[in-house]
Amino acid sequence: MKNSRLYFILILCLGVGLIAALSVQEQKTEMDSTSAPFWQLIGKPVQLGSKALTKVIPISSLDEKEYGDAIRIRYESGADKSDPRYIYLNSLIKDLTKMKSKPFEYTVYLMDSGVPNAFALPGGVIFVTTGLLQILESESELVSILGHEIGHVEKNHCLENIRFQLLTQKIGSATLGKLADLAFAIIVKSSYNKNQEEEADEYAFSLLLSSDYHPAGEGKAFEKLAESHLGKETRTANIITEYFQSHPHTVLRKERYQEKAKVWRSSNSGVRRYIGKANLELQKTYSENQIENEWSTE
Amino acid sequence: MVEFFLFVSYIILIVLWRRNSELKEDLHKSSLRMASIEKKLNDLQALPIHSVQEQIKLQGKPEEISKPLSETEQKREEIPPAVIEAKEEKISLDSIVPAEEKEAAPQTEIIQNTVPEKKEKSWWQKTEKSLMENWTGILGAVILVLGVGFLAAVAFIIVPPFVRFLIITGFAGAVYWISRYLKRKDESWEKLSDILFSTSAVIFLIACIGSYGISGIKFVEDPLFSIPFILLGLGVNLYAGYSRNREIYASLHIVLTFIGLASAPQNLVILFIASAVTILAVRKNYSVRWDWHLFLTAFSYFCFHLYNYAQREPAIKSDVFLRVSGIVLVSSVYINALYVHYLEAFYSEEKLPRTALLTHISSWIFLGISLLGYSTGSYWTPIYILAVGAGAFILSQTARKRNIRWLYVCDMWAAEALTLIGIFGLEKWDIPFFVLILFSGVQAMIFALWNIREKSAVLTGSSILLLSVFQAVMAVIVILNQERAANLDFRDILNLSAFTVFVFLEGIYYHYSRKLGEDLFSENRFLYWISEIPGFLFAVSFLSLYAYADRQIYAPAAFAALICGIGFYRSRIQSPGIGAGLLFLFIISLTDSWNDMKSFGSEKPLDFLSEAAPHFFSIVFLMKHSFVKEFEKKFSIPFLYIFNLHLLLSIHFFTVSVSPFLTGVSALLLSFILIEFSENSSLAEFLEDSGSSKHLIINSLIFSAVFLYRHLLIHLQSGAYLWIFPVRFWIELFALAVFSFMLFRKSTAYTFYNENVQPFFAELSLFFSVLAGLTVLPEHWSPPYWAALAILCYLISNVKNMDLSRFAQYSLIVQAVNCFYIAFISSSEDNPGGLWQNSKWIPALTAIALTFPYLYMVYSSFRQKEIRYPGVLSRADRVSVLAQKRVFSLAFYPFFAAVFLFLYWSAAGAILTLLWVAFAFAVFAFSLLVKEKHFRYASLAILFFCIFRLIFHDLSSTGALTRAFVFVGTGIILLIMNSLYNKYKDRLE
Repeated sequence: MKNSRLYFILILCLGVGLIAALSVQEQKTEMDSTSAPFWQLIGKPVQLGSKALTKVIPISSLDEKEYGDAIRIRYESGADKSDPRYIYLNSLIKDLTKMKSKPFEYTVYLMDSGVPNAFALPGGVIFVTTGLLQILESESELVSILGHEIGHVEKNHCLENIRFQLLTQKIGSATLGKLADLAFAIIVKSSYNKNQEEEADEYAFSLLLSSDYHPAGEGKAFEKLAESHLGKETRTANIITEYFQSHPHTVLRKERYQEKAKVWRSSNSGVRRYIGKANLELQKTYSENQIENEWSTE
Repeated sequence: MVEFFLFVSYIILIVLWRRNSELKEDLHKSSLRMASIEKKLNDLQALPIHSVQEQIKLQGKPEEISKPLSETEQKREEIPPAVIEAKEEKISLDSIVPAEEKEAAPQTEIIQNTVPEKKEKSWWQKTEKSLMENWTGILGAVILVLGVGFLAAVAFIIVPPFVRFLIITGFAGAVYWISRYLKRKDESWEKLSDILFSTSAVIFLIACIGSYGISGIKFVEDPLFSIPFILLGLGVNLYAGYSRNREIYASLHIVLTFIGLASAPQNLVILFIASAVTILAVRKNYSVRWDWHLFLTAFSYFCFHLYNYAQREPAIKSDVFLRVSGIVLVSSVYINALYVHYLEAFYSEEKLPRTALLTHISSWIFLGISLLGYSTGSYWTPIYILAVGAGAFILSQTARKRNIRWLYVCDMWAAEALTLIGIFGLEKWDIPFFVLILFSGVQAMIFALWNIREKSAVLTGSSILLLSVFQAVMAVIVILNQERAANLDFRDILNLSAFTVFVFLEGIYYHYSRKLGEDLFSENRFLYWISEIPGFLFAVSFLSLYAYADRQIYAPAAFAALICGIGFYRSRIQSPGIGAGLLFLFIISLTDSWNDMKSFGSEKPLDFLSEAAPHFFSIVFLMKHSFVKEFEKKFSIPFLYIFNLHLLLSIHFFTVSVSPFLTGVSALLLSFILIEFSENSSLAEFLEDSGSSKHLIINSLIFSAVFLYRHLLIHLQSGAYLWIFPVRFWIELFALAVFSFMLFRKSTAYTFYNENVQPFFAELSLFFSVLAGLTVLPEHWSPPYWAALAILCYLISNVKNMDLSRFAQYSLIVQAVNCFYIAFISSSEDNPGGLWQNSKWIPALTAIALTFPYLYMVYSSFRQKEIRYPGVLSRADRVSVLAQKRVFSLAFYPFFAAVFLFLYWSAAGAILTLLWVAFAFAVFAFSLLVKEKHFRYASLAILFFCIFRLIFHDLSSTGALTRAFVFVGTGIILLIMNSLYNKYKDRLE
């Protein structure tokens, strides 16, 4: 009985302390409510199952490479290789993929679109829109975006989209595989594609942490994207649309990586990290041109 | 022509309607007879034949029994059916049923008594009779009238109008002659004769009306000259109606008379004639009771009068004489018609004569509408109507004295309705609409009290309903006008004051009505509930006032005090009506306060407090005074729920702007506190409810559910940190602590909770452990976490006195997840920065290392466990038996497979073979430890597979050094295995 009363008081103190801490810190949430993280949680086992499936079926990164090469041939002719932005992006991706596990090189193509966006295709093909380059302010932000897309490729998310096609290609019936991929995407993928996005975000953050770039770059990049989506995102939960939503809410991603950067900074005070505003402007990568005042200890 | 056919159709309709009701009555009687006969036949058939024979024998008819049955039947066939029926009846009632059975079966007696002596006809026979007797005549008349119509059409073409008139009149004469001729014959022709007589009169009336009003036979152009023709037609018509002293003909011809009068030029003289005819027709009802005749007369006169009025309206409006004449004539007619029902000889002690009631109500309505027409535009109209209302009231008292109950009720209604019409007529005096409704409400209140005094349930009920309607209308008007609350003009203030006065008047009325009508309401439960409506409205009406005062800072406190006051009064007088109204008032004011609290939030703390705090007091007060005599119970528990809801919402609205996390955490804290105090005796004493502990637990569970809801929809999204951990983690840790604590809190009074809810806090705790772990750990560190959790679960399953044995089985599930991660997730090679600390093999190897002690624990005690599931999951006990049988398949082999796959995806070439060999050795060593031969077999299988691979794959594809290294390693392992085996083989065997 005594012990019970003691536990009661301890837990009560924990609760009251937590309430006090939350009140003092005025901890807020980005959205009034959202079911997306809940769906993400529910979708996790499905995603793990899908990963296991990709592992056990007899396709490999070499198959993915062949697929990527075919895409490259298709887009190569349209790309302006003398464009400084093209050169800059491909130079940057080379630096970022030094520790890649995939047996192919990454290529970044520039897409002429005002909508800020980037996406990856199987075989290391990444597209970045001109609109995205316009809203980003520093190389660390760009690295976080490219890191995110590299994450999709490295973590086999892109391969998962074409796994049945690649498998059936081996027996000469790729159309059947395409249909299977499509069906899988429609029926199952909605439940876990937000998890894939989070994995890619985490990959990008790890990339920033293991490089000289400033970890705050990712939060800032999401901030810019959130600003560009301003007014399009709702603030309250919608169980149906949030289930089918392919990405987590940008405001939540922004908050998560801003907070992570803060935590990192609090345990790494004084450590210099590179921001690279001028690099993005000059189209010269950090490895090509390190500018002294781009380092930050904040 | 159209008018003519309409007229004909109208006659036909009336005849058909009347006949139809008569026929329905006949048919109903016939079907009742049929049913009784069928029942008797069935009873007869149900009796066994030998008992029939015995009965007959007892009656001294041995010769019938001795006859063979077939012969009897043969005879039966020879007898006409009617005779058989009669015989069967006789047998069934007199000879077969014994005397004592007859006594025991009163129904049989009734049947016996109602059976007439003459033979019964079948349904078909009766229908046939009805058709032959009535419908042939009716149809014949209709066809005849149609023929006249056709004739008129032909005449229209070929002869001048006057000749046409003569032809038709002649035809009417011919028909009359035929009817007279038939009358002289035997009785069977009498009905047809009567019909033809009426037909002839109708045809003559048509001719007379047509002489002025129907084109084709119209030959009189001057309206004045048309009157003698019309009067002649009407005279003949009335004679035809009343000469035979039969209601149906009288009714038919009086209706036709009005049609005839309507076709004449409309003036005061015609109205006078019509009124005189009506009075004469009505006077007939003073000597004989013809309810339908009276109704049709009153109705037809009303229609005629409307037509007459419409034709003369401009003149009536400008001429006082015409108006007064109209009022006098109409009043004379309807007072006569109404007074018929006061004849004690016809209507005293009558339960409820529907037709008479319809007639009486209609007459009042007709009178009211007619008088309204005459007095429209007059300043004194409402006074006339109020005077008539007073007259109706006096008449109702007459009816009461004469013991004509239904009439008393009807007249009281009429009096009340007329008074209401009179009150609304006061609008001409520029009295505001709201005040008129108020007067109406007061009037209804007075009537209600009067009726309660006179112990009339119906009248009391109707008055109360009327009062309620006016009260509700007033309340709605006041609420609708509350938009102007900030800028009230004189009229608004007047209305509001009047309404306030009315509400208090209603309160007084309600108080006295309950005292005055105590006996009346206790006898009639339905009336009792109706009598509670004013009480309900009395309490609800304060909402209207609340709407005005809402913007004031003192309003919540004032209304909370008011609620307490009304609650106290309700408790004293035990009024369900006030109780319901109070509840409504309370809920609305509470929800309104919630709305205000939401808008104030933490930004206006004083305003917020002024809204939130008073309700805590009012809830507790109502909780204390919640005894309801009707149920002999105190309803404190619902207020307990409301209190907690108010508390939670107050916290939510105040804190949500500070931090959205606070609501969920506070809900969990409240849940925790409620569980702790659920057994508190002083709380139970305060609530005065034996189930208070149970409800406190339910409240606690609701708070927990609120927390879970908020955690899933609000907290999960957060990426914010508190110190070095995410906010989410702290909350999940707190939830884990609370739910673990709840796991130790069993209820002494709530068995269902103990069996079906409380044990599952263990599962909830496990869920939050998983959630908390996944929140803080990077994904690639999941396997060690799962491995540790599997150990923890297994250890928890060993805790005594807690019945958590099922956690052993959960540990298998957690272990399976661990194996899955090791096999498929940890073997991925992505490592963005290439930093060793991010390598996945480190956590994977840690997990593998942690799994061995787990497996050992499982091996040593899993099969000896008695695993049981609580409550609704008790059926899973079978699964646990199966799991215990297959524990090696479920715990060990998935792990072996996971490690095997992990190695396969983490290494390549000959190194992989070496790792596999090492793994085979580990399995072998484990098999020695646990003395399980199948593990040994498994390790040997892996080993030989590795050797095969080494020879046929690695030998050719591996570099020299690696190859050597692998071969050496494999060889050493094999040797150690061999030596170990040999050393312990005796023990193994």
